[in-house]
Amino acid sequence: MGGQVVHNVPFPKDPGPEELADLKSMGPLVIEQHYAINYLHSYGQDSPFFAGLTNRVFLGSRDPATGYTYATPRGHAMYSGSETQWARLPDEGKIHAFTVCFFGSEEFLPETPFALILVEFEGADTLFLGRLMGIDPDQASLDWIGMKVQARYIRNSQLKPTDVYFVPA
Amino acid sequence: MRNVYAVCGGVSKFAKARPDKTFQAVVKESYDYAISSIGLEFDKFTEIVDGSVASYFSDHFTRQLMAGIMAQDYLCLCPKPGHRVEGGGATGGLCFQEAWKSVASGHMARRENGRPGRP
Repeated sequence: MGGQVVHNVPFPKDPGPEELADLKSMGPLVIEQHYAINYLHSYGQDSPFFAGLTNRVFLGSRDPATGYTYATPRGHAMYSGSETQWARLPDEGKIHAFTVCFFGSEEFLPETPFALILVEFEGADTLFLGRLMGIDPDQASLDWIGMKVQARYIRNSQLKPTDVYFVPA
Repeated sequence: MRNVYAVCGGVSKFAKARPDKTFQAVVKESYDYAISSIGLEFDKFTEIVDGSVASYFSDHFTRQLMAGIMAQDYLCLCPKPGHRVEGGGATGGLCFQEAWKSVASGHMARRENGRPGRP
C-alpha cells in the first residue's frame, strides 16, 4: 500500500533498552499516497436542465395537474408526487434574499467573498439559488431585496449549477 | 412504550447502474411501491406520515454529503421530523432500528396542540 520504494530508514543497530526508550522521541514516518477514482455519474432526469444551461435556456419543472412550478428542477412534484414537465423560465427575475459568503468550501474558497441570491421568477412558485456577480460584496445592502437580476451563462459549460449566474438587470 | 409494526416495504428496480434517474427519483420508486401496497396515494401518505429516517451508502457515489435530506425533501417529508443514520456495514439495520425507536418512544408522534406526542 502506498507503493513506496524505501532505500534506508535511520534506525539504531541492535537496539538495547536505552535505544528502545529513545524510539519514543522518533518523529513519524510520513508517506505520500495517491488516491483517485473514476466514477460515471448520471444527471438522470435532471439532464435537460444542464443541457439547457449549456444552450442558454433556463428550465424549471411544472406539475402538469396543478401548474405549480419549481424554479429548481425536480423530476416529481413535491405535493402531488406526479412526474413534472419541463417549463422554460424567464432570464430575468428579482432577488428574494441574499447572503454574502466570506468563507466557503474548497471549491469556492478562492472566490470569497461572494454573494448568493435566491431568485424569484414570474410564473414560478419556488426560488433558485445562484451567484450574484457584478456587485461589490462589501457594499451589501437590504436595497438588494427586490432588485431585478438577469441570468448569464458561462461561455464554456461545465455542466454544473454554476453554469448560470446573475447580474443586476 | 408504543408497539411498533412494520406494515409494508418497497424496493426500486434493481440494476447494476441507474443512469435514467437521480438517487432521489430512485428512492421515490421504492417509496411509491411501499405506500401503494397499503392502498394509499402519495398526497394522502404525505398528510398522515409523522416523520422519516434515512440512511445510505455512500457519500462518494451520490456525490453528496446530505443525500438523506435531499431524498426526504424530494418526497415532501420536510419539515416533519426526520434524520439520517449510518454506521459502518450496519447502516440499513440501524436505519430500521432508529425508525423503530422513533415510533416506540413517541418522538415522531403527531403533535397536537403544540404538545409532544404521547409515548
